[in-house]
Amino acid sequence: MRHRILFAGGAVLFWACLLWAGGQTQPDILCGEHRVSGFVDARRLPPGTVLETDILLIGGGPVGISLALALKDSGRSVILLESGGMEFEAATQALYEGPETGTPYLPLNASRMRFLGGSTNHWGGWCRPLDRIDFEARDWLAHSGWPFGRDALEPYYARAQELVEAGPFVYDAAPTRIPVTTLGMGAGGLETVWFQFSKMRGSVLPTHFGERYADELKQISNLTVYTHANATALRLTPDAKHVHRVEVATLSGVKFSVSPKLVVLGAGAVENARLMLASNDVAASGVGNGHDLVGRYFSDHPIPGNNATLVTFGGKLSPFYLGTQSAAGARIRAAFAPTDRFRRAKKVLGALITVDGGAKLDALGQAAVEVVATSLGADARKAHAYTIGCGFEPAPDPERRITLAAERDALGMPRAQLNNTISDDDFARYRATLEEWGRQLLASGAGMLRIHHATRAEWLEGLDWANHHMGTTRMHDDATRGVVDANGLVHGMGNLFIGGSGLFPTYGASNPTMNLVALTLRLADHLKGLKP
Amino acid sequence: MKLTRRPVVVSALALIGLGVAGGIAVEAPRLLRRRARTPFDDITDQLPREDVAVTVGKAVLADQHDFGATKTANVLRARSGSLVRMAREDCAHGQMLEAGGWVLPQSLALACAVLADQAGSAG
Repeated sequence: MRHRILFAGGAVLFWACLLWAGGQTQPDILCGEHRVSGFVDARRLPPGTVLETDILLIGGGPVGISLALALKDSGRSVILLESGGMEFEAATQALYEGPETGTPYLPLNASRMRFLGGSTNHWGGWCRPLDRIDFEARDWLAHSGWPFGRDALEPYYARAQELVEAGPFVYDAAPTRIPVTTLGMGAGGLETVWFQFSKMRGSVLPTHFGERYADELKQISNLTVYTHANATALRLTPDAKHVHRVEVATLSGVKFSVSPKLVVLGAGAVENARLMLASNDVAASGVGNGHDLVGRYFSDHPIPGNNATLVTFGGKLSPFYLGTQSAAGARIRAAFAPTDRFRRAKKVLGALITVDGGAKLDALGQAAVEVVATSLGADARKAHAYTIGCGFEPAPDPERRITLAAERDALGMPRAQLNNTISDDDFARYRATLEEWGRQLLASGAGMLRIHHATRAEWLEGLDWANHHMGTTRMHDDATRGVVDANGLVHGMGNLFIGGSGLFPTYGASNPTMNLVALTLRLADHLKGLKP
Repeated sequence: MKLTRRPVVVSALALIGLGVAGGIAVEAPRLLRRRARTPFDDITDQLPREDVAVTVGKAVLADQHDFGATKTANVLRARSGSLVRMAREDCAHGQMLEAGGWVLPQSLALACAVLADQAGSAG
């Protein structure tokens, strides 16, 4: 299978071959067969070029790269468009800029990375599969429920784990594989859970998909990666059911297009929504936005800094709680999280609670420890105090959304605009988890807890976010409740798919990268099963 | 030189005497500094060191706007068993109360508050 390049004439073809050859990082061009593989700098393409391909991947982050690798030997020609090059370029990164309203959030141009590898170029490497409850429709949580359960992702986690290079799939089985003493908290709503960490090589953390997989991508004969190539519009057929052409532009001024049989958006939750909304020449509200859902339900994981103090009566915690450790062939770290059972019973959402470091108790803290430990018969002579960090899951909110700003970027596209929200209920649900943890620690005699924040103002002060863009193109079987179906196909469209954490209807507390890679591999299997 | 028994015994007794005297000297002020009796000693006497319990109690009172020592004490008395037992039951059943953000068994926190309230009244 191959993709063809249609030129205005033979002379153009000749010069194009020369130009491409000069711009190749790996000169692997087969112009004589009208086939190109390897990396092509799109700035060297003749303006007006029309590329044809079976599958067009928009975005060279973990979605695009995972798909490109998975579609190797699929018999389909594949083009991957990457906005950036192999490293950071300020002008390209600036395409992310956009205004924000509502709850303060990170600058939109700072929370993503726009070169090959996408946001894996600045991720922390934290990996953990979503919990089973994360997929469930909960009658007490509006807009909840994935169109499938965790079992549907289970077959893809092993390969996703390989791609993120997080070692053997251990996670919560860690205590059975390594000698570790976890904090004995008895029965209750929280338990020790385990992270694993992406590790590219040696002590280098974590895997940057672009740097790591560039050479493999260059070897894939049915794939061409176009760098510095920005998709600027999805052109639909008159019935708005198919994408028949994708407009592409470089910051150097070259404009060309791709005529694909299938398109997969993998440019991140914000950029996918922006491209769909901005492509409004046929469908006035934007592509796939017949029900005004595109861009809505944006989310991230709030990180309330120094939100609690943990005191352990029995001495220091295991080092596994305090940082990453090498064990069982992986880099792992322990954390605390509400159990699925507790979450269902108390109607709270996900949280992953980490121990950040040592803490010093004030007079009240020292008094509280003495009174409680003495009264409950606990020996607190070796008590230690720790500061607590956390990333928690907010509820889906349709008003937390991406829309188009009036301002345009350097390519003439409307910039993305974010309205961010976080509700008092979001804070209250996480606080309920902390309250249970405090109870459980006392009941077990393991320690005690101080919760630092009570008011909204206290929670918002110093609130950080995890750079985990999710939502905006949520999955649902019902076209009135989701942008895409269970396979990532945009409702009402025949050839437009979306990958990535933008599909997550609810978000869980787990870091999204490994989960979105698993979801992407599932999409790859679906695409491979489609008739050419 | 022959060591006789008498000096050894005398020395040992002297050392013991010094130890006892020292202990009394150190502990006597605390033992003698008994606060004034209150109607709630049946509860507050179950608390550990008074000064730390008062510290906790003051933090509890800071969030209790309509606190009444008598009412609170009666609530605690209505529950059978010692304060320790009540505290353990609170932990088991989720009857918690916060003092300056510290999650505490409700009965223990309220007992501390009664003590702090009385200390404040006396002082």
